[in-house]
Amino acid sequence: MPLIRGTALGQYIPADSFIHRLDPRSKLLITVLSMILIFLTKSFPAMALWASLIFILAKISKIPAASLLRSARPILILIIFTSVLHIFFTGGSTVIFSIGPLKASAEGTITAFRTGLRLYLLVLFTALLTFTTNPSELSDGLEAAFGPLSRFGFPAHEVAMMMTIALRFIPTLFEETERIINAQVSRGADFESGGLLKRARAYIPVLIPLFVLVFKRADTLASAMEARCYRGGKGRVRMYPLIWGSPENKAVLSFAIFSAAVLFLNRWT
Amino acid sequence: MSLTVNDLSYTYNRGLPTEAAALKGISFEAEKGEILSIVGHTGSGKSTLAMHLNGLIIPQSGEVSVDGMSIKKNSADLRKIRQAVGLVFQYPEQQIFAETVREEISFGPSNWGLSGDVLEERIFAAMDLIGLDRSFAPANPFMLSGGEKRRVAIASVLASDPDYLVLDEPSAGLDFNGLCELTSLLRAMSKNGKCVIHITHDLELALDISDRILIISDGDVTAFGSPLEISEILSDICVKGLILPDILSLSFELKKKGRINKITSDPFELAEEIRASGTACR
Repeated sequence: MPLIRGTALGQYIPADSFIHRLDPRSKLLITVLSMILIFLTKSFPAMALWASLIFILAKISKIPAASLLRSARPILILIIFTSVLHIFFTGGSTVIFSIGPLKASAEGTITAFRTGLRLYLLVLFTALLTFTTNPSELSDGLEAAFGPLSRFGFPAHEVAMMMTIALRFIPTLFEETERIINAQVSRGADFESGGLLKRARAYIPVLIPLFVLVFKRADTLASAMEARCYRGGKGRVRMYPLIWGSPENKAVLSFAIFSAAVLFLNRWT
Repeated sequence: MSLTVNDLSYTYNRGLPTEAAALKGISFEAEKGEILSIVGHTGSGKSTLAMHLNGLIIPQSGEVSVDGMSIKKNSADLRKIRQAVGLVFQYPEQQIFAETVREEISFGPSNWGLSGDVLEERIFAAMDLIGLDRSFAPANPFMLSGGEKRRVAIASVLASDPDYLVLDEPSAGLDFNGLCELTSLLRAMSKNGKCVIHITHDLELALDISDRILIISDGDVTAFGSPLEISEILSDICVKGLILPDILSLSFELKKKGRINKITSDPFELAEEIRASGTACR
């Protein structure tokens, strides 16, 4: 009984593609820039350009478009919710319809569409990053990105290490949760009937053993790291050094050209 | 009244590129009053099979039925089946959550609707059965030793008084004394008319305590029979990942060389065989 079926947001899908092979730093840079640019995008044609870029990138990464769309589905609910709020609370002179004191304006509807689409594009673009970059590469990239901050006392290596460990243990935790749920169901635990409070209470026999296991695991992991003389980031070398070469230059340049096109389209439409 | 498994198959991640067949048409029957051991290597499908026996996994194809009740999705009998089939997971001490041993053991029976004197009786009966002193009842289970924790966890399943007891690798991590206590518990349960289904990779232990043994390999039944029948079958075939007890290998060799007439996994019986055939030679 898997708790999560299909592709989840933030999951890594291994494949051999140009995008998968790129240096994580270049992908992080492009993702951060795209986040800023998507927020600057106002016109609908420019948004269409973004959408086509996302699907072309998915195609190059050998990731089925269906998986990409499915992974963003949980966020879609949130986006629709904020869009509905926008419709009613933006204000504007052209009222389309009203429910009691709530008035839906034409301006509001357009704003709602714009923000909703923007958020959706943002989620899809960042999903591409995690789909094509495995967690350890991602944290290596983040460490490199935060590197300059370590001069001001920011623990870049430690933060990256914590992220790697956290990501590494998500599947393990799901497995353990499933096992404990099975053990308690075998002893007659019932998670499905009763009201909200009763159902929440039913999870106590799952959460307590889970916390106990997590603390034990952390303890074992700490001992194992110490036994291997782990001393943090200082003087540490990488098994796979990050290499910024011509593919990365090409990727960043292509993105720059695309950005110029988007900004141009955004201004003139 | 028995637990029957008929042509049971199960495939993980069915339809995905990562799909893997765990069970491929398994059939057997377990009777009340017997110890049935299911022996197989790591990844043979033992644990998947165990989770089918109380309906944690609904059969994809084939049938599992308990006392005539068939395990089906959304069946009203599912809770009745889980009450009749107690499942002790590997490392059961990891399921402990309560603040007192008493509360932990009462979790099962009170979920099945027991309360008051009957519940008290069940708790103490389970503690007596597993050899846990009654003075442990108010103790904090998290403060107990590993062996004691495991006993509390097994007692919490026994307290529901299941007719069928399925144990997944109950001997993992136990020392010699713990093992002896476990085997005598399983024997006592079967003598009291319960059906004990003991899942293990330890053939030696299975040969020692079982009435019947089911050997599975890669999700398929390789052999099914009494310990003696299994011993005879194993002299002809080699099963993946299964370690033969030394006594059994020795008796295979002696039989091959014509020194004894009967294969056995019992050291005393083997000594007797050697002695008997030795006098016959002279």
